[in-house]
Amino acid sequence: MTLGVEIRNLDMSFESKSGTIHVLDDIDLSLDPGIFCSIVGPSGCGKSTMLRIIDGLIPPMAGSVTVGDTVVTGPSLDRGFVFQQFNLLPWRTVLANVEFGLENLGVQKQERRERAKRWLRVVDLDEFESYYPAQLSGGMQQRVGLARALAIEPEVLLMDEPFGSVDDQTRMLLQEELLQIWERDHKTVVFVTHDIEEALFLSDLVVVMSPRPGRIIQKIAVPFGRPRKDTLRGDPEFSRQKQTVWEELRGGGLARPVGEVAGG
Amino acid sequence: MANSLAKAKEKQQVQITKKAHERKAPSTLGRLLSGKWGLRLIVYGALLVGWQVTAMVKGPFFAPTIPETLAGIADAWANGYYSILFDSLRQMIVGFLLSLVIAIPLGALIGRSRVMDDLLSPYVNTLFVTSKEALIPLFVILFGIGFQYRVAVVVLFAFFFPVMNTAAGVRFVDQHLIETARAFCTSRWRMFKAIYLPGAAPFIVAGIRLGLGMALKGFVIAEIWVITGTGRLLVEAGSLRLLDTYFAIALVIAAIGIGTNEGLKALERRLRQHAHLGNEG
Amino acid sequence: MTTAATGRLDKPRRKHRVSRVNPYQIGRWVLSILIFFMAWEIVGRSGVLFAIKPPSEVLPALRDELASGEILAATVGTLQVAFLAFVIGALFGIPVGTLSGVSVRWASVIDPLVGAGWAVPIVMFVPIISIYAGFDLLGKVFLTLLMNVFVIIVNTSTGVREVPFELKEMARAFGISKRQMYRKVIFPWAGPYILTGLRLGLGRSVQGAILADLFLRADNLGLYIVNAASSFQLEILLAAVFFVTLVAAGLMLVARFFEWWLLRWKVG
Repeated sequence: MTLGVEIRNLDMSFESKSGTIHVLDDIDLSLDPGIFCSIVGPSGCGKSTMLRIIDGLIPPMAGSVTVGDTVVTGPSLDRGFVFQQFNLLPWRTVLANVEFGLENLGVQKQERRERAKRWLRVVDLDEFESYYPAQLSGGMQQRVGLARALAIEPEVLLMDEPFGSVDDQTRMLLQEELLQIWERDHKTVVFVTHDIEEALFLSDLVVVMSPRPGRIIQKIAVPFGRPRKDTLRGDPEFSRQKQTVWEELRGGGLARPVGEVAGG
Repeated sequence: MANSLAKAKEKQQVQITKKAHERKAPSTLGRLLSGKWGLRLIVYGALLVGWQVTAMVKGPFFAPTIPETLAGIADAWANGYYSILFDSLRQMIVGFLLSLVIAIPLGALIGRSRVMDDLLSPYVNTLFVTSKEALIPLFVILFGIGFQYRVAVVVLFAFFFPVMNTAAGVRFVDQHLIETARAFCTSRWRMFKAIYLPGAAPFIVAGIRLGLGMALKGFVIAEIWVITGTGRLLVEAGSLRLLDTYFAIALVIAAIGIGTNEGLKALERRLRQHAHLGNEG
Repeated sequence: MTTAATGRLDKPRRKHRVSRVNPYQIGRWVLSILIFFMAWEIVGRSGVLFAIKPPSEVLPALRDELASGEILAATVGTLQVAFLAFVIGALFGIPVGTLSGVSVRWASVIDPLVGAGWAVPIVMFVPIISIYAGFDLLGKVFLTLLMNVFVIIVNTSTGVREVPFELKEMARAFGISKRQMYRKVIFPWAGPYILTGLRLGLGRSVQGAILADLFLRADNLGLYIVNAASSFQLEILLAAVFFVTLVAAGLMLVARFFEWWLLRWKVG
């Protein structure tokens, strides 16, 4: 079961010592249930902040976020979050980390354990269930983070540059794994990244943001079919799409009508 | 299985909406308390008031009231008690400087050389763990009850922190910086001045600060044990229940302790910033 | 699944279990201790510092005293005070430290008081503690408590304060309640700091108890030492000091081991 995400008139500012920082400017975004949406933009454009607002971790200054029919007022286990820095609890084993969200849901111990083991198997870490995070590589830790978010069976999955802290090779493999898992139930995913190739490879929709204050410059529907294969990366059409997105990013910030552009 | 999860999430959602409704606007009292000084003034004020009331109720043999304490300070000044304190402090400083002269180079040696660390740390660590107080009667036998004894006790107490902190500071100096300096054929002296000293400086000052606190403890212990100098004043005032005099002296000692601690902390902070900038250079 | 390929690239880093103690170190420690005893023996025999008796006289004296049980009874008495004050210090210090760590407002109240307690020589209160708490157990425990509580508070508040924001954010994202935040995130993270504070607090409790048994009223170990000193039984005096050092060092080793055992998850 998955839900759509509605963002209307979202506006956000922070108070700091040097004054008010306007991070998000009038964001409007409508995501159908089951869509894989990436958000790309330069550093500091507020994309991570926007993701946290969607999750309910930060309240917006103005505007609203609706998931399904419910307005977001705080964190909820209808949404799963995957962090760039993994944020695993270092004193817990891998298995106990995956159980974390389930504990907070009040799921009984036996069932919790079974569910956690199941999701560890999905990310192929079941052999490592009694390891501690410090014993795992970055890529493996992130897979634990992914399992933890998936274990609560959220309607929406939010991912904040999840593969930003791992090396290139691991990143590409993790992208493929993510798609394989996603293909099972097609959850709504909002995926923040600065990597254009990653965004194109993974998503149905790429949203391009301007530098601070973040505005949506373009929404690009990704034309490639599913399931996506690794060979797509070498496809000339793929490179063309990359170029298009890159040009949008570079030219970003200039006044432009926001619309959907199909392909190059 | 999926059902139980959905039910659990529903329960959660209800709780979250309930909490959202319960969030209240801050009251005036709340806003008053929110400044840094709000709660402080209230609590400290209450403590002072409590002190004053207890003193008034229980009488001067239990606690001096605030005006009595102030009068006590004036008396102490007139009676020359503060010059006795000053004299004690002078002797403490001699002992403290002596301990620094031994401790800091020793600490640097321990920090630089693994071998020296292994040979010397057992003693230093044991010194920290053991009861220095238990050594006081022995020190009286060894050094008498005069100047030598006081200096010896201060060294005993103040020695540890400067050694350990200096060692930590020297160890901490960024290995990368050292490597770079050696690649550029830096002379020994320049290495010391430009790399080790700024890097270790905040640690050394921390050691001095903590050591000074221990030196204060040392001189008070030494003097109370043999009932001389300031210690004698405190013991006599205590046993005769001349509490205004007692607090007149104790408060000044406390002020000295706090003042030097804060002053050295500020110096430490300045040096730490300097070291950071230096490390990025 | 492509994970077979992933597995090859993605092996868990077997953290280099660099043995923290190598044979050279142990060798140097042993050498260090040997040198100490040799130097002690030489200085003692030579009579340069007349009060220092060599280990060849001190250790037998210690053995005799242990056999007669006197020194043990004295030590137990003092340690009782130490442990009592330690437990009270922990029960009081950990909550206060936690409060200071989580609430900026309370930190502004607590931190200056704790800083003062740290910077002020507590011993100077010895002459008046008896007025407020007597010379007996209450007074001794109170004095010792003053010595251990500040270090426990400071370490606890530092640990609690340093819980990374990201971990707390993650916990909130996964629906944690306020109470559970303490149990599942804050205290596990602050645990090592609190344990360090407790270990230091234990050391200071022992020191404080000996201080009380010497300065407040000569009792237990304090009385034992004072008697030995005033009757110039120097071997016994040195034996007592040596024994106290052994006991204190032993306690600290036990505390460190306990700390290590509780923090086994800190691999590497």
